[in-house]
Amino acid sequence: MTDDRADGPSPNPDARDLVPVVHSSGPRLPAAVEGPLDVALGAVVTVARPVVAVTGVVGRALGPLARVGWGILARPPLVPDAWTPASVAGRLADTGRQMRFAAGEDATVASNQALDVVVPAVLDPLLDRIDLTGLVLARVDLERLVTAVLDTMDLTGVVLDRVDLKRIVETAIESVDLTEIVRTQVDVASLAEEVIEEVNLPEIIRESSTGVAAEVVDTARISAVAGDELVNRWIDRILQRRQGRRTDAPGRAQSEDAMDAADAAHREADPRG
Amino acid sequence: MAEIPIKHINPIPPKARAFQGLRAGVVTRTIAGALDYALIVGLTFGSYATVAIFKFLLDPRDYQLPQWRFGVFLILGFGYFVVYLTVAFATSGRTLGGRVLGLRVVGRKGSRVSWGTALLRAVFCVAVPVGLFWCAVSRENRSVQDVVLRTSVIHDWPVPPAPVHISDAERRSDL
Repeated sequence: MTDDRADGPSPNPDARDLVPVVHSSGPRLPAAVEGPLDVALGAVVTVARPVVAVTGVVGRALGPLARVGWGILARPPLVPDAWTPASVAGRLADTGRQMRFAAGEDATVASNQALDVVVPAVLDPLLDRIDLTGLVLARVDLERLVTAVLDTMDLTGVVLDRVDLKRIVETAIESVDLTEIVRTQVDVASLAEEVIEEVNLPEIIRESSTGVAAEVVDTARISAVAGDELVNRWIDRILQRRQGRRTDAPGRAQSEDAMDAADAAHREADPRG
Repeated sequence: MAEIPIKHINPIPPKARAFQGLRAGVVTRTIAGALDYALIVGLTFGSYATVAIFKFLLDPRDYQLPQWRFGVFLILGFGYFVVYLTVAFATSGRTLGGRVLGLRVVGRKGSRVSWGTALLRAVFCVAVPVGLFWCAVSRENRSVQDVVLRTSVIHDWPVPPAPVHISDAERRSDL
């Protein structure tokens, strides 16, 4: 594809084609060069393999002898140590190492400066030609990435630290009509009915009203009984009775049975009482 | 202390517990009788009003109030009163006035009176209402009717039915 674009200008210079990042196949050589080159490489490999094998065998056989000979040459007898080839080579190596370090530092500085110039010049046009967003969407598992990021973050803590929640809530409340929302979204009638049913309001009203009425009736009855006793006393006094009245009636009143049942229930509930 | 069910709370006020089952005096019985009497008077005049309304509906042009003699009112009231008292004595033993004042008519053994006794007592009460006041003189608080028929009128306050327990969700759901 790069070859296609190099063959001629694009019909629309403003619309630059984006290059793929990964090539599907390696660069290809011209056919006139490719054939002879393959023949030459085959010949080199054919010759080199036996040579390397023979060299290895000879090297392993002559290795100890070569090490003894190199030791004699490096430090020959009867020669002052300072003038032996080993000492001379050592001094030369020290000088060379110092030079290499100095040059390395210079090279590092020089390379950094060069990168400062080269990288923007290369990277900007490169990024312009790459659909980086599409590439990320196609190649990156964003869900996994986001999940991993969220797992490492205390999102609640971040929101509490960084977000003015009070301001947000106040703004939200000011911008909405809560009353209208409740009227439109909440079934107020059903809610009220449910609450009334829960507290059993009719039963409470009925009990309270019947309680008041019953109290009035009880008072009237007791007052009438007091009137009975008063009249009885006057009549008995007029008739000069010395003994009281015998008002015991046969049988039992239904109210007495109810009272006995209540007393029995009390005793059962509280045996000490 | 363990919870005491509402239905077992003593239904009778402490002041009234002492005289439950005893024969009632003249004041209580007179008030109860007055209430019954008022009921029968209302029923009698209600009958007259009902007849008058029907007569108007049948012949509105030549409408005139029905001309009832006083004797008609007496006979009608007597009949109503006898039927009313008979049914009340023979069933629950309580007339309306007796229910309000907490009274009950019982027989010689404390049981409910028979229909015959109830009818006799009803006729006797309506025919000789003054016999009631003998209970003020009687050492046993008996009226003339009670003495003759060997009945008694006792204090027996009606016990209200067991109230609904408010916290009982199952029973509340049935309401």
